[in-house]
Amino acid sequence: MPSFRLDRLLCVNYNSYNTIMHLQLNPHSGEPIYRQIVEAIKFQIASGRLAEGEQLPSVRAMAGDLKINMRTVVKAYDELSHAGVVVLQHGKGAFVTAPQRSRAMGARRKEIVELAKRLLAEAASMGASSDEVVEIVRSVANNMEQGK
Amino acid sequence: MTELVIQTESLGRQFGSTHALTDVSLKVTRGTVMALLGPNGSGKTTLLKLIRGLIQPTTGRAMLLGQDGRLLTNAVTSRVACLFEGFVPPRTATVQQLFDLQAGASPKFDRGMAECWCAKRELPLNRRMWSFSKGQQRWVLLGLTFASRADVLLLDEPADGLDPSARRELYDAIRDHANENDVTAVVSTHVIGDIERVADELLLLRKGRVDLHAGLEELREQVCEVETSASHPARTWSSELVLLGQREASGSRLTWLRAPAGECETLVKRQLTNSDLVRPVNLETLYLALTEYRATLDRGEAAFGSEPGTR
Repeated sequence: MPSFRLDRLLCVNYNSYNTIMHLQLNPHSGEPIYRQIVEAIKFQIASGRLAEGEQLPSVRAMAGDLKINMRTVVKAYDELSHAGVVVLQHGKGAFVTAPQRSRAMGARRKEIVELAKRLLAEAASMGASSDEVVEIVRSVANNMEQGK
Repeated sequence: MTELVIQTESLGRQFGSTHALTDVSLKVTRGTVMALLGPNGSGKTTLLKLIRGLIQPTTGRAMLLGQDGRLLTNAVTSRVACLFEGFVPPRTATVQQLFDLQAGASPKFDRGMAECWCAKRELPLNRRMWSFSKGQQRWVLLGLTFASRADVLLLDEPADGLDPSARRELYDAIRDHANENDVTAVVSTHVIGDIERVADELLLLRKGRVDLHAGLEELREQVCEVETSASHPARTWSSELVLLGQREASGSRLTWLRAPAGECETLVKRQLTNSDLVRPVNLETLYLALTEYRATLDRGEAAFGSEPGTR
């Protein structure tokens, strides 16, 4: 008995229709994939492509789309949840949370200062001046606001 | 979830006086895609054949789906599909006829899946095998393999002869089968870039022994490349770091390190000076670094003073 499954008849893979978000990952960079997902989603939120309250693709859809192990997606979502960027609702999925304005301003500033220090140190090791870094940060921020 | 699909214990095989495989102990859980890498003659095919019970071990044993490789019953072999070098389908058979043959041999054969697979490369089902190119023939065989709806795939250089886009589709299909049907796959290859994208684990063989067995995501975290000036003497790294390889080129020295218990970059940065660079390593670089370095050590070139007795 032939089984008439639409996907078989049309020779399509429904996975390819689950592309809800477009993440640019590089499997050959040597950077852990889960960390690349975390960074890419944080970037999408920062650039306004993912809004507060929006749902991330299911673990299965994301893994099928990116052709990676589901455990890797779970690890990325856990990390995002740990960082307070998304909230995991049991049985429902992962949702983008509001930016953390509630956190004490002092602690927030301290964290950002640490990030800036790291950026400047890394850039200095490549021979970049702090003026150059500031200029680059400003242009990246402009691009993000314009949604590029 | 963590059912053991493949398990070997001190598995070894000798051909005459040649030790093709020595002391391989290994566990592969359900749903894992394992990349089997190693130079020519390092034992990849021998390992796959031992797991499938096509040849018998001289030492140790291999278990497949809970059964000893020497005594596999039909209940197990019908759940395993393999593709080995040198399997040539009848030249005069059409694709359709091959499907008929396979349907008779494996009851779970999914003809719809096999037809879709061939349609992806626009291979007409009424064409005879001899009229296809090497890569197209390979594609038909892969279709037979996937459509047998096996729980375990043992693929020996499956991408051999395929063009880049077909290779991509092949590896996507392996990942899809693992994700959706919990299929376990062991795939040997020399084209590292393709398998790096979809594999979960890496098994690197060298001279018939396991050189490295690790999860790819863990490796990405644990391994890094350090670039230092070649004019300084080679550094002694902290004991938390394992030296994987070293090479000097155009005034700089590249060192590959692994931190088995943590993040390599964090550990390395404690020991870096300003002019040094540290970066992640992809699988291809790691593979080349390891194999070349081990070969150098084998030849007894004591060029690397900082490494106390790796072998």
